[in-house]
Amino acid sequence: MTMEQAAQMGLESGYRQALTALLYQLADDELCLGHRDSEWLGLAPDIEGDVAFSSIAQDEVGHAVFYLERLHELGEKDPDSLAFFRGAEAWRNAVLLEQPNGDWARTILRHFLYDLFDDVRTEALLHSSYEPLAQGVAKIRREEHYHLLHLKPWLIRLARAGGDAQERMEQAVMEVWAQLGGLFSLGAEEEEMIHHGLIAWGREELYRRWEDRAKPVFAEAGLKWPGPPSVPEQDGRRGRHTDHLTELIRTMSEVAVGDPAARW
Amino acid sequence: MADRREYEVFEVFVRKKKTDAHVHVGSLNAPSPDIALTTARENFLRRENAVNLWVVPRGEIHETPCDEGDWFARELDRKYREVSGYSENGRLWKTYRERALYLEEIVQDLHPPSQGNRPRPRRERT
Repeated sequence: MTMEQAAQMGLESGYRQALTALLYQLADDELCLGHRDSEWLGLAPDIEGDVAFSSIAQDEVGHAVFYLERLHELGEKDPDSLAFFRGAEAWRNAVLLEQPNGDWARTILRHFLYDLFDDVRTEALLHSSYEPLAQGVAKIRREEHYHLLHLKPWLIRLARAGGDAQERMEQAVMEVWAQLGGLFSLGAEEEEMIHHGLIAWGREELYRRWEDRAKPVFAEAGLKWPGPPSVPEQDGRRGRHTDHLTELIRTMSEVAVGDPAARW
Repeated sequence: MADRREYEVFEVFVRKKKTDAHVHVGSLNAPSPDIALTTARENFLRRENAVNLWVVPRGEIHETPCDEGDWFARELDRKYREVSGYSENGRLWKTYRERALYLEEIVQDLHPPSQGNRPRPRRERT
């Protein structure tokens, strides 16, 4: 679909605005986390896990590309411009995902909890009124299935290992919980998104379904459930971020900024 | 700490298609079979598809002795076990199929002189 076709679809402006906001949230979550994952390249605890985690990083960036392409079809800039040449205030990811990785325990925990959320969120998009989104999400969910398969045993293993691993995991729970609540926000356009049938559930239902899935895993890992997560000061879904996002964008776009006109 | 085994070696077998057998592709270190399976997927199937994976702890594989050459000794002639004779079949088949047979030759084929005493129930009934 080209820009012209998108315009010809005659998307009503309210619909289009809510759809664009939703696509930015999806793209920016995946791109932030994909980039943070990629920072582990060569540093993961074992070589096998290193290769697997890098592969997961590429999957996440690939999913971001899908969402950025849909945005481009709707008249936004091309995917590379959106990824490399967009100020932090225009990003709509949850602030949890822009934070530095921390140690391996925190990396695994954050990724698992996010992927669980993304699984619930994409389930809510399977019957989206925007057909290209519904179709793409069905494919993305098949790839994400493996991510959960990979991350869950890691989480349980670290938490049950006792000693240093368990202490680090418990510390990670506290740190991640401080910003986790921001994931469930759908930003200023939440009502419009639901009204137009773009997404099936709002933040409360997303959270309820996520909690139903996360709690049994915590029990299996022997981790104490900390209760509802805190909502961070900055709502990334409304363009408010920590300085870590500016740093992330600067690092990620370092090469592209070096010669914006270069052809790859 | 030396005897505390956190990681072990798993041998990895990939089945690429449902009609294929599992083929050994290499080995990896993992702390458990489930983690071995997930890392095997990305380490051996990053660019290829498959329908099934096996991981087997190396310690569970039983092998023949490496330094006992007689285990595989094959000293005498065993041509009789080989199937090379079958390679002639194509040529023979072609030779006889391609030649038209006369009626006499067919009769000759049904009543070979050397088998004259053998009972032939079908023919005796007629």
